[in-house]
Amino acid sequence: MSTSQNVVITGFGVETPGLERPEDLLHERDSPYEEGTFDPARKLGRKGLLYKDQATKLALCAVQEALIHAGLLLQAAEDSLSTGVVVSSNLGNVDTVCRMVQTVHQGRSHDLSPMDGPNASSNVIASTIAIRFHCQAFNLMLCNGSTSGLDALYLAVNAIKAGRAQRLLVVGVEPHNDIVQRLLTRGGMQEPLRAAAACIILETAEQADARGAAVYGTLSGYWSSPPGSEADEALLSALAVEDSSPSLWLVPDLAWSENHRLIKKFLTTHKATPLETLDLSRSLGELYGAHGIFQCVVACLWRQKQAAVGKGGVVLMTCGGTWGDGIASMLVQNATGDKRR
Amino acid sequence: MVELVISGSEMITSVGWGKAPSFAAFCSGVSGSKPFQYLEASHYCVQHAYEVADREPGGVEQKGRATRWLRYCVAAALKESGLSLDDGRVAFLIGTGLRELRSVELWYTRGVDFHVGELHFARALRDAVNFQGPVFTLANACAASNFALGLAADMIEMGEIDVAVVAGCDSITESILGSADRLNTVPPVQIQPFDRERKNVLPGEGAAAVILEARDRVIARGNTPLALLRGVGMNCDAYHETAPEKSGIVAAMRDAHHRADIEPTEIDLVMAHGTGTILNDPTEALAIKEVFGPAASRVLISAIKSMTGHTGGASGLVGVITAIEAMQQGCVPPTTGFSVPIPEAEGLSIVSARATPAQVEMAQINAFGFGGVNAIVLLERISA
Repeated sequence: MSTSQNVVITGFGVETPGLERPEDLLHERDSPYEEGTFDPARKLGRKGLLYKDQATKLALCAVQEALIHAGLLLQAAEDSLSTGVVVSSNLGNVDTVCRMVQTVHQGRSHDLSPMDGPNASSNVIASTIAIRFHCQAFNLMLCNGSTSGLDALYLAVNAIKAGRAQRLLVVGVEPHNDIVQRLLTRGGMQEPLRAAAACIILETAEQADARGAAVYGTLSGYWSSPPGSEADEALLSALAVEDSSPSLWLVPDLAWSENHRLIKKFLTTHKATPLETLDLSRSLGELYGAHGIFQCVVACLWRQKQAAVGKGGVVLMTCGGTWGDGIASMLVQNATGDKRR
Repeated sequence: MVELVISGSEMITSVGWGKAPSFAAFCSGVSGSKPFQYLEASHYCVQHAYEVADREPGGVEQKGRATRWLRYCVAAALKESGLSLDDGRVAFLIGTGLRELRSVELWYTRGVDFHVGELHFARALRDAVNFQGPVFTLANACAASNFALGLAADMIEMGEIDVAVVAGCDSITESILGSADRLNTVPPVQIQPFDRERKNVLPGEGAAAVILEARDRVIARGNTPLALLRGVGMNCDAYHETAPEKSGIVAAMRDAHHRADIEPTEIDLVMAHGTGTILNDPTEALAIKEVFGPAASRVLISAIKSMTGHTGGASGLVGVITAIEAMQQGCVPPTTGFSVPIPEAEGLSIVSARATPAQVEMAQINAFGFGGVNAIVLLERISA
């Protein structure tokens, strides 16, 4: 059933309350910007939001931004059978589950709100996106720790190549609330968790071409390693296989000392082409399962900026290494036939 | 196209620690439904669940039970397959509905020590079998482990990996138990799939693991494949957060048949999703009738959640392993608790009362999850 289709990035969007311009993420800050007020009704209207949790609402907003960016919002229903959803998130329903069990323990199960039930299922974000935006193809919820964002992009590319969908909305999101704060502080949180969402739209090159879509790049070179391994050697090997020289490296969260050591060692040991690095956690804080998707959005923004002055540019994305997890990496580069260097 | 086989398997259910004792229990009609062993019954109307018996009476519930069962099943499946994890490119794909959210509940209510990295299964599995490659935790509700199998098959066919360790696990959470109980008018004591007297679903728990790889590899190292994976259909109803939708389920079944290049008339057994809820059973029965047509009255149907409870994300692979045992042993487990069919299921050959001797060449395993995620697996028997 493989189509051996090329898969391209045709849109992106974010929901980052307090940050109006996603382009600002191209500049590293001294400290994360202040989180702003989240008003989902402003973008989505009020209908259907009442019992949705914060992570779900953030994700819906990011998806809508991406669909608008890709010129797809109005035709979503037409492509329903061939459009699917992949979501990366770890903490979305943790607070719901904790409140529910506390309600039961303080009384009885019949004290629960029936509206909480669907939110107790870990895939509520992915299914809610599918319902709202009419996505009846492949639907996947990935809760894979700090590499989950890049893992989601990898599995999404595979799903399109396997003919499971022609288009996938790939989302990364984490919420921020007191319960999650307590859980992460217990685990040694280095910086505040960011309530934010990002969405990347992937589709077959053929479909993108047929509708005259703008293409922002293609994904390749996925590689995953467990914690504590010689990640820098593995990174080099992966880059050699892809025969790519990245100009920008979106690095894993450097607030974590393991990541800091990895990046420093790699850059010291392999003094090849000067490599610009960018740590999104400096602007956004702890992104956890959303990190890899935000990296992909920023990669597209950076490549757009380069394209405006006639340049291309390969971007290396590496995330993970936090909360005891391993590392994942992936490249964003030109689609086949794109002659920019 | 490469022939994909299952080369090792293992499962843990409320009626057996292992596929052999579980299948023997299924064929004997043994139910795992019991009064709560360690939950505080005064908080609930429902008083029964299908719990894995791994705690001392009166003992304190430990965190990480689903993880422990997962580790056991993965190690056992690997052992049966004779596979070395150094042999080829390997990925682990774990399907779960609830991950370690039960451990989160224990942290929140009893202050049990819990680290956020324990919510997914990468570290535990890497430690358990000394594995250095990628581990993916897929939280796709009650279809999760069938989705994991489908993704794994795609990855091998595309040449991304050579071998997949595919597994599923879930342990009962009080948030899910409570929300199901919230909807009960009369609390169920067992799951009664497709029966007019069905009351609702009851949570179960357990784990299951299979090894998926090309048939040639298994033969080359002198091991015996257990079954052929013909195909996996996957989609999403995109209809409702909890209620199933017939056209979505029909499309998923047809996707599976198309990928497997088979007609429904070739299928001998359907391991139904059969959750005993008001909505699932009529929807599933009508979908089977629509897809199978006249063959719907001949295909055997078995719904083992009557004995295992709803094992959540593990339920797809629990059905897969049961189907393989049924093929190998020539015996289809009964749907206990079923006697009078709902109108939608009239005319279907639901195995009831006792296990049925049968020659099963081709089996279909249904799994549907909250949010309308559907995954249908098709297996073919391999002669010994």
